[in-house]
Amino acid sequence: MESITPQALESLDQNSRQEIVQFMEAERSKAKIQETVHTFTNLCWNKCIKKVNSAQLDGSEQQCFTDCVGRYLDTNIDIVKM
Amino acid sequence: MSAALKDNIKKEIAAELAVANAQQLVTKMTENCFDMCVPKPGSSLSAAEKNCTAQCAQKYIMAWNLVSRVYITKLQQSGQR
Repeated sequence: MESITPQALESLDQNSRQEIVQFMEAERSKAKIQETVHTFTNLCWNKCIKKVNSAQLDGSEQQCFTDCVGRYLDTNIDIVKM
Repeated sequence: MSAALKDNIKKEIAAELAVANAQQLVTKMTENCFDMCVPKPGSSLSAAEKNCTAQCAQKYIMAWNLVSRVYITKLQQSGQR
């Protein structure tokens, strides 16, 4: 496998550099979304899960998470509009 | 040669982010499952606490995946408007 050294990086052509920059931008957007998913999961877990008695999410718990994310986003929009 | 290096760099970047995401998941999962399954910590974890933690961890991952799907769907809907 080609190792990543300063010399090797110098040898990259313009198209490859461009492609890496675009790839990093895409990965950064993905990381941002994942970060938000962590925040929402944590927040909604506290609202939706009162105790653990199975490894599954039952129907009402699933509904609760879905509503929790939806209403959080609605709240966010309302607050921005104030 | 440039192509191999480029693919290698992309792979490294993706791997770093996957590790960061997994760490974040483990941290949040530990916080929430500890909170829920070990209300009064004793001298060791009981069988019931371990069982609760195992179920809780699976449940947390299911919740993460659900939240991810719901959020991404919302993002796509708001992008179309």
